[in-house]
Amino acid sequence: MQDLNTKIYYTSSGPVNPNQSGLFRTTRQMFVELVLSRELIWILFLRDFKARYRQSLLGILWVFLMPVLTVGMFVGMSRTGVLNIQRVGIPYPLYALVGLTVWSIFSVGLTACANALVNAGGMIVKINFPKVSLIVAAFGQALVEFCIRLIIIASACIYYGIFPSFTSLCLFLVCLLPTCLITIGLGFLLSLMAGVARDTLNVLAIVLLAGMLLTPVLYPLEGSSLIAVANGWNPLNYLVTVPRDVLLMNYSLHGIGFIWSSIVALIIFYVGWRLFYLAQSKIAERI
Amino acid sequence: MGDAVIRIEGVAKKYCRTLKHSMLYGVSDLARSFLGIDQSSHLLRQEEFWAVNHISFEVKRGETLGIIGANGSGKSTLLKMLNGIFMPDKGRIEIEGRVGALIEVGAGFHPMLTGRENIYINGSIYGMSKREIDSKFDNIVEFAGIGDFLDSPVKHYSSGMFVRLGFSVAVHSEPDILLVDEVLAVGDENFKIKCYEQINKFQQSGKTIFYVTHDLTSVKKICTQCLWLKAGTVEMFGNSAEVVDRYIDYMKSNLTKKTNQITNSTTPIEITKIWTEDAHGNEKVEFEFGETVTVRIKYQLLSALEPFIFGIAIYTADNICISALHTGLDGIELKQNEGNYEVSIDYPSIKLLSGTYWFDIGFFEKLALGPLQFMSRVVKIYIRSPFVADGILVLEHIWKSS
Repeated sequence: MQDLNTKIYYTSSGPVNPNQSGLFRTTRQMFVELVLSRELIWILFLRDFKARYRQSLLGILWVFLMPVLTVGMFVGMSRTGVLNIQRVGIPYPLYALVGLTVWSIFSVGLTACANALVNAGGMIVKINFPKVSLIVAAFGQALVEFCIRLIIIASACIYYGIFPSFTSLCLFLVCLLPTCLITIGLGFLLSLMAGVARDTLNVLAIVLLAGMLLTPVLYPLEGSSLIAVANGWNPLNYLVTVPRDVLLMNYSLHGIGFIWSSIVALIIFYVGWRLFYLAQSKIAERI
Repeated sequence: MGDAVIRIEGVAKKYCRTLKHSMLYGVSDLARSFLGIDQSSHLLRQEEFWAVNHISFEVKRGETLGIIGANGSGKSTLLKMLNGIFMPDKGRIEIEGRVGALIEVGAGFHPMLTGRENIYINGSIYGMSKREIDSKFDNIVEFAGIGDFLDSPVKHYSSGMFVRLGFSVAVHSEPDILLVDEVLAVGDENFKIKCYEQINKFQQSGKTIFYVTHDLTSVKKICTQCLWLKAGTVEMFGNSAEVVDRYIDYMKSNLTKKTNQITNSTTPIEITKIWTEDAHGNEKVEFEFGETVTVRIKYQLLSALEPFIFGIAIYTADNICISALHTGLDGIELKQNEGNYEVSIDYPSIKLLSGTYWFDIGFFEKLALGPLQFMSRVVKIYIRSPFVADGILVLEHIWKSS
């Protein structure tokens, strides 16, 4: 992605472009790289998308099946009394479905991003290209699944006769932005760590499962229990709860927490991206 | 700055022998770079070694540099550093222009997707825009010659088709500096010819090429300069014909020490001495173009023998047999009784081009042609010719023009 006649130095501390200097140099280069990679991101995203469902019988149906089965399980457990879930003010299946959908952006996205460098290992050691594109393209998988899950939510809304206004739908989507940022930011870091040690991926699977159970995704966590108090400090709590409240109830009591969580998400995103940018030239030899 | 497109100054790269240490160092390097701590990458840690070390050279615009060396001498590592895939641990690489790599073409192909889809994917990875790929699409397909398979998944391609498609996309990304790593070996003859044509085109448009290969003939043919790597360091850098011949010499001297002689133990012939000399009887190995070369062999018959013949063949450094002659061919009789003998052959005014030439000699049964004594690459001569031409030798010729 270098322009003609540009000069570049490769040193032990990474590539150096002598034409660029000054304040915010690294940040500017990061943005330039991202903008120049937009077509590559799109094409890699399409590649992953096409390749994933090409040799499976049910194809894209899998994306529908997974959340329906998960929510069905929790609905079943709540009906039979195995799990005692507080009243949530809206039909529980809808509550769980929306929570799971928002959470899936985080869990699916993070898993895909963390695997991105390892999966592309063969390519990384043979061709020099902006690796940021791999991470962003991998995150696209989360967005695809999210869109498909939206269809399930829409059907459930029609079934229960709950029709969110257009404004709350738009607000819902805007409120998901911090979730995307925190996911990509952590994805940058985890992909590097997975590149060095594959353990990361196993740990991630467990942490994501625990995270889902400890965050009010499928059931509310309120009151004075330890988990509920701890969730006051969990940014993901606000990032899941607020969009869901906005969509289904048109208001949320957690606005302040959400704003703080968004700031945290933005910081994680920037730090993750920057560290990834600086470390990407040294990761190829370790994968 | 001069004309150099690529300047390499004291470059070194270290690798780790064990995966465990590699992971450990990977984690600590990652943590250090996150925290902005100096990595001291110029120092070796436990289980690390220099795969490439102390490499410095320059390549000017329009030059074609061959990189040769034994397996594991650091050729591919060097290429990966030039491509910016690996960063050097010491020193600095300075590059002007867009670098395109053919380091194992077909990297990034997705086996489930069709050739058409993969062209777009691979093109983008090489840094081409969609519009650029659209406009070159037909050329890419034609050059690759994959025909009806364009819309089949590439996992159904033959390995040759796979490589052809990869090469085609890579060359159409129009880099200023082309890195070619041992890819031409896979294609068939037709495709090789196309590739050489393409390389020729690159050369004519003043682009710079790095060419890693074990095919030494092609290095002599297409490279202006050659770099010989030995155990990660530069052994020799210079004119490609000279470097290649010296390299072959070196490889042979390693090899022939053990395996140059096939002896039939029951044969009562012992070769005692072989040497070359000029027309005045001076023993020497370096000859000028057109000089007379004499090869002399002293041998001993331990007992009387059935009729036998003596044969001698001359080879180029890359194992092309130029001429194989034997005494039976010219009706020369050799004595069959016990005793010490000498046989010699003159090559009057030898018209071979610059390079190293090797001789095989042997004694054979006259009727069965089985070897009695055979020594391969037993002696060599160097020939210096005043001019550079294609081929091996200059045939006797007469021009006519009207």
